[in-house]
Amino acid sequence: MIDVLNRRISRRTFLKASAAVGGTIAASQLIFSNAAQAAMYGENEPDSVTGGTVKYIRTTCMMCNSVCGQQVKTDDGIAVKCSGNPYSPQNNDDFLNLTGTGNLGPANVTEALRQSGGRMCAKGQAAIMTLYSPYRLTRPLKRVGARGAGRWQVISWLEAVNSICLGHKDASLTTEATLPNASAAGNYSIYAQGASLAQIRDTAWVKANGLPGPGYSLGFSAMPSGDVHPDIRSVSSAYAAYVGGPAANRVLTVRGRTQWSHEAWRLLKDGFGSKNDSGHEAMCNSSYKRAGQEMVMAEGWKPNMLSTSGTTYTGPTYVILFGADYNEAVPPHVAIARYLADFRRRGGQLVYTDVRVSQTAAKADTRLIVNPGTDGALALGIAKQWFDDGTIATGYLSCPTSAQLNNLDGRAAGACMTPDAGSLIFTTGPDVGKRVGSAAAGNAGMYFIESVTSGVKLGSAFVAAERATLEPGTITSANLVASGVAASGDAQTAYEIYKSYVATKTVAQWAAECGLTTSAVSGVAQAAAAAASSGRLGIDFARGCYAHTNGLYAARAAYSLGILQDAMNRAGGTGKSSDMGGASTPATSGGTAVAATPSGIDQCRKGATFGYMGTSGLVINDPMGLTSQPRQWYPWANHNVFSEIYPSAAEGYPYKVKAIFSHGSNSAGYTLGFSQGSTNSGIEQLKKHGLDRVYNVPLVVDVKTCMDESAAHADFVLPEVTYLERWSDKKENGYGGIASKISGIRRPVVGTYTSGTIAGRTARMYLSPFASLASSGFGGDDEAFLGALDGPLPLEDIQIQLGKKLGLKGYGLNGISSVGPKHLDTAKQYYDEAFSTSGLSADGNDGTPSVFCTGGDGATSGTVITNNALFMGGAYTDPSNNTAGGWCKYGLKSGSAYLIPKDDANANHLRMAINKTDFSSVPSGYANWAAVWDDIKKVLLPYHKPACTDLDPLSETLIADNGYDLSLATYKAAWHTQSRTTENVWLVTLTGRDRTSPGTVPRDPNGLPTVWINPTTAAAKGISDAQRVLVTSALNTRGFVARANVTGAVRAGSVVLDHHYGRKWFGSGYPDHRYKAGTAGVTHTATVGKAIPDRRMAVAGAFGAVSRCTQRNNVNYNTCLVDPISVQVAYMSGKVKVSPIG
Amino acid sequence: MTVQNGFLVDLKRCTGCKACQVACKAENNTRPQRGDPRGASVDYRRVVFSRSGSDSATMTRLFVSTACYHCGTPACMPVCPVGAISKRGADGVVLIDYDLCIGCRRCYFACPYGAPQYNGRVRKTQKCTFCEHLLSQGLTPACVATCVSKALNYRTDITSNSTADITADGPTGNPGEAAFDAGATWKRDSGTYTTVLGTNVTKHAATKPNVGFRLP
Repeated sequence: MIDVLNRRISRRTFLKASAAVGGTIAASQLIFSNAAQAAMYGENEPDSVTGGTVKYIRTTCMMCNSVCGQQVKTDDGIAVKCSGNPYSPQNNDDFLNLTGTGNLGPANVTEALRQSGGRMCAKGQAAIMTLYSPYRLTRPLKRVGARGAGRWQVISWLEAVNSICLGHKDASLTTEATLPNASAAGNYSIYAQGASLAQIRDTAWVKANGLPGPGYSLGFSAMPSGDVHPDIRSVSSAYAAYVGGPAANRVLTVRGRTQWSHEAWRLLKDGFGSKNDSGHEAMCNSSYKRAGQEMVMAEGWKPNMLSTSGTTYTGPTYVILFGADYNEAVPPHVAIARYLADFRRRGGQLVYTDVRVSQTAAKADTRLIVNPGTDGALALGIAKQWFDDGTIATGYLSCPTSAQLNNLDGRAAGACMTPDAGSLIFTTGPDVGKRVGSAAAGNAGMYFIESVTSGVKLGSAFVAAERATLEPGTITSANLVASGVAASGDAQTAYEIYKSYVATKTVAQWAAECGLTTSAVSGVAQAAAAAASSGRLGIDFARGCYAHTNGLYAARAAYSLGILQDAMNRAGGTGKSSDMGGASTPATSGGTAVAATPSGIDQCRKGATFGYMGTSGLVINDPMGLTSQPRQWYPWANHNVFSEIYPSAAEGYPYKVKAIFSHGSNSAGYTLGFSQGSTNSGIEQLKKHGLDRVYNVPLVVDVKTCMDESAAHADFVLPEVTYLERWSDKKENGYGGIASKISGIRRPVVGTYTSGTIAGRTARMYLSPFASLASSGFGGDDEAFLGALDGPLPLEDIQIQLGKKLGLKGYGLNGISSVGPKHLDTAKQYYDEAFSTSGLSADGNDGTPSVFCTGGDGATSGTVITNNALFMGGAYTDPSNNTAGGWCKYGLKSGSAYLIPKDDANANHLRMAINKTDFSSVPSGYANWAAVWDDIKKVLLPYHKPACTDLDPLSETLIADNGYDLSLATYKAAWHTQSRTTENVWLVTLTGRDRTSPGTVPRDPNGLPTVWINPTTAAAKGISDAQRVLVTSALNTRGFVARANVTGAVRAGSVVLDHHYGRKWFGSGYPDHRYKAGTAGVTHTATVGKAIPDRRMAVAGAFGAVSRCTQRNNVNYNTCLVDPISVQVAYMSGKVKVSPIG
Repeated sequence: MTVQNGFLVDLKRCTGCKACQVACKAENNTRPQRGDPRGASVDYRRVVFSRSGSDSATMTRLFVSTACYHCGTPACMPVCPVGAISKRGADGVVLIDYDLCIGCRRCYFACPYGAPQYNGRVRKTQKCTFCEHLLSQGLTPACVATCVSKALNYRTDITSNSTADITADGPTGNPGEAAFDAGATWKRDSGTYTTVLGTNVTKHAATKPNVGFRLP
């Protein structure tokens, strides 16, 4: 026997290498050029398993936003392996319910289980390649050429913060005119733009006092009227002042798909006072959340699924997934893919519907591959079968507030239960008066009813009707079938409305619309009804069948069916550390009231309600009472409209934007062209400038770990740490798809801590292993500290430095509290406070991130374990205890992915605010009562609009194809991590096509995006498998080159494209990394490699971003086409043409 | 037959997510690592995809996780000119001694499964070690430990007939899985559990498992 362990070819010596790394940090800062570390990650040999230098640290993964636990093995301070956290129920079925102070769990929790008990997807395990990515940015960069020219200069943090906050040292700061107009002709220099945070926020103060200092934050100027768009000003000066608000609103913050998304820019935003902050979830999650708001009066409820009825995962026997491709990248993939496997192993029947044979479809017992956009038709066909068979759960529907359904989401007692079946009933007898407007006795018992007589109104009793006021338990029965006169009009119950709409077609006709056989639809319907009769039906949705719209269509279909069959339980969720006990984390800047009180209208138009009235023009309803608007504003006001940020900013509408701060998101790269005639994405908006060659948005700052399209077009690029190098207690945007409460904690797994004083204030700081603090830092003043910093910083540290430089209240001296006092000079101080208020004892008191995990088992090794949550990487509840009171409250109220801030008061989806509409007359935005009823019907029913991929969102009329004959949809592979895929070498190697013959290399050697195309369609166009093709759209006639994947996995007439193809700027400069060259603090003019696509990366070669291909502008409006109902930009769908090349 | 370690793949559970492939790479630090973005990838474990059919309702997409099967009579072993390949008596694990390997790739061509892979950077042929460095510590092979859908498992003695810890079930009706079921000759357990063992493989492809398509 050969002992392979002792005979190896390239033994890596961690101790030696790490020592070399440590020495190098102080010497050159060029961590990633270090030969020792390159060797460490370059060759084949397993890592050490045990030993005094091996530690396991449990944290929360963020390679996607599933909020899985993660366990990182480190060896002598170097992360060597990422795996699943065995304590997290996301990663392990054998839930280690470690409850009780000081109790580290049952004796049978072995070290082996701790080390290898957690499951983790390809993405999470590849995090280590992001941490040690050769593409990482390590130092602040300043643009020295035109935007996008790729010329950068390495600068120090001191210079970066000074420039961003105060402008150039040599520039005049005393006049407003310096903001946009101080440019020398032909000079694209950022300094010439004159924008700085100090000036933007309070030019008057700066004018009077010079540079900001103490007292600066007390000033808070109004926005200069000249910065409000002339169209707004033309209405009235009062209106212009209202829309504009404070001058600080001219700063926008943008955040990506992060798990502390809502918190990401909070420190700066709240302290600075801008109202404008938007995030990826506004683009991604809002769609199906909107469905929840519309149909069940809750943002987050899903008609779930694997938690139906009784103990989690043992409930359903029949599950229908509307596009919920959990076997690929639909989160939480790790948990739900596992439960689906369990479900099928115990005999459960899985039905999956999508436009593509996904990896979930491949495992489904029944697959329904439908025409794009026909989720609603499929649901209606299923419902039709149910109505025909009499298998609707009428007992449930007529008892809408039964006790067992109440309070599932932790709402206050008295709130409406989620499955708002009340929308399907007509109450009579003693219940009359309790149905609508709880206290308004005398209200008619009609809920959502249809008038069959045009022009008849409901009556004054319905003023301010709110579904949410439905009182639980007060309605014990109701008539599902009723019609007659109510509230001065002919009426029907919603149940009747539903039934009559469904009856407009036969099952066969509904099926045909989907492209399915009658038996396929009826078979699923009847099997589902049988399961539902015993409470065993689960329905779930994700993005759905209409491209990458994240599911409003799918959600409405699923909700609708779930309501009809009482399959609406919802469980699980994620929370934050304060859920573990104690108080909430510091509210804003340490809880100190800031001078800035946001006001005005979001640049993204939150809170404004607008409608479109066909030929009669646009209608606006806003608090100023304005009833008409000369030009298009966003047609449906959403919470925030992520995709509008760049175009609106560049357009200066409704007011000029002076600065954009982006974090963790390729926001410009993903943002599409909105402005009239634009055919390009958000990066083109950043390049727009006036005749004076001053950019429309003068200051763009991007905080990134690696270059991307957005960063490549910024003025300053600030290097940030990865999630493995930061603290965070917030899981505001996690996916709580399983029936456990999860409050994960994120903590650094590598790096060091240092303590000292800043201007006499005691401070403690976490430092990434790629960052350093020179000895002159602690012990000096604020500027000395800032000047001594080098390397990537957590976003919070960056914001604190900006806030201190501006002198904003809530930073630096007494920043957290004047009691104590508690200062805010570092992010670590912030998180120490956050954890403290949550009942957690800071981070173990000594600042060593691995203290809880020494040897993998702190208990037996004698290490003091001060908190189970820190040991386990979070706090979790036992799934088997899911019937306990308060179940779900963490998830939905504290931070489920499905949570968006309520904006009921101003919601204007479907052209009307359903919840608070004055029904005493035809609501504003409607031509007549018939139009009102038309919308009400939509709220009850699955969204059904034939060929909805081609609808103009405003007129809901079909758009001519003009020869672009194929419907495009996208998907996300299981190894897709959004913006990080292309810089992660492990994930890149996983991409490729299915093999069609032995020996075919799965990976595409040429790195082209892959277009899935049906054999019939391909044959008609003369396209053969693996052939290069050109994909074009009406907007992007230049198109991009892709490789055909001719497969029956998609239907004829549709094509499918990987969502993660089409990145252009990742890997810019590799392998030279010249943008990192140079010495910090020296303003030399080191040439930086122009950002060009790196063809060696497998997926970076696709020149055309997906959005360019598919985005279409409506030339009649200053807006893009959006998903006609979800208010999302339909940027991942549309019509394309595919033609062979050569 | 001596004691033989073997991987089990539950084909009904496998989702094709490739987590096992990355786990293997992460554990064994196989190529590529950082700084080597486009070198030929060495993956001891791979997830193989295949498809057939042209109709979305009936077409099949198959995926199976595959690695070295640590064969009873390894085809790779006798062809090695320097005797670098051995089969351990204690657990049947087949290993390559990298110090002896001369990178001639005969094993690469001999193996019907493509298990040995050539690493051009170090000019050696490398393959799955059954994570014996973990097994020896009482730990689980990395691919098995991470498997998201619990499809991958392993047994330390696959020669026993015990299936007590394996849940039996029948064909599923899924077109893809039906194809797997058709390859009954290579299954040793009931239902769709699959011990992709390659045991006693002596010639190329002659007894190659039928999983609905040709393994690599």
